[in-house]
Amino acid sequence: MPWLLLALTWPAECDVASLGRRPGWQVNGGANMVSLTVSLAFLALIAWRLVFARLQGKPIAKEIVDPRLPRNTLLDRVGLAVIVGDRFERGAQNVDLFEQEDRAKAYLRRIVALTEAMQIGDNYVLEIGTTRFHVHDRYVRRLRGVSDPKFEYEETCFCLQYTRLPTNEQIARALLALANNPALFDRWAARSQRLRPTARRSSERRGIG
Amino acid sequence: MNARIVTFSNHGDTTLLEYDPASADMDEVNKVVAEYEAKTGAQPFDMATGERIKKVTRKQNEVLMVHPISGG
Repeated sequence: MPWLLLALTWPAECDVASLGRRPGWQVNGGANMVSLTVSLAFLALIAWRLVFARLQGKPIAKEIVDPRLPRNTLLDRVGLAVIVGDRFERGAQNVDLFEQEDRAKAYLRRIVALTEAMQIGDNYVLEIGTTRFHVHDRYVRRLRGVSDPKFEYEETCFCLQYTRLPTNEQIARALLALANNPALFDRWAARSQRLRPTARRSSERRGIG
Repeated sequence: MNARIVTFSNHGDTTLLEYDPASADMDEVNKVVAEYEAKTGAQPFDMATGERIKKVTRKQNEVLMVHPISGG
């Protein structure tokens, strides 16, 4: 843009004070020249900004309206958010950690009530028939035959897809899953190869359970 | 009142879908749930009863998609 270069490198002789009368120039020709230069520079900036925005805007726009992305018809019908890929629209991700924890606690309380579990210290005790589960953070113990002294506690651990899931939600999820399918314990234990008797029932009387 | 399909992720509870149970096309809702289930293995539970459900109906106001848990 030579005219922009010209505007930026206009020599000192073009100062209003240094301008004398020149053929074809008005008395205030210097002032006109300065305003012309400023206008040209301003136009150049606008043009540059438009070109720059156009160059940068293309891929962004393409990303947003990429026609290859699957469209969700539900979005059109009910006008509400739904996930696309791994992106989630709403929930606890937009709140701070304290609120996330509060929400997790609220969910855990609801699920404890739903499954009729009971909180004892850090454990959540879930009884299904004659089987009792003690659910901790990624850890669960089982006692089959609550009233039968010949049974011992077995324990195993479990893991979740989301490793940074708040502890309360991990426990809530395990409680809900076990309440609906107590046999999951065996599946977890088989997977972890850690099924083992850990404590005799007498330990429960000592307050460990 | 809107109904919601939620799940737990690294960000805590996350709303996957929110809809008006009175007017929403429940086939579409179930289609989304089925797709999510197929993709992640998560199973839907009714948050009013705590029970695993096979199909979301207009009666459910909140459905929790519980991701599979495996042995550690």
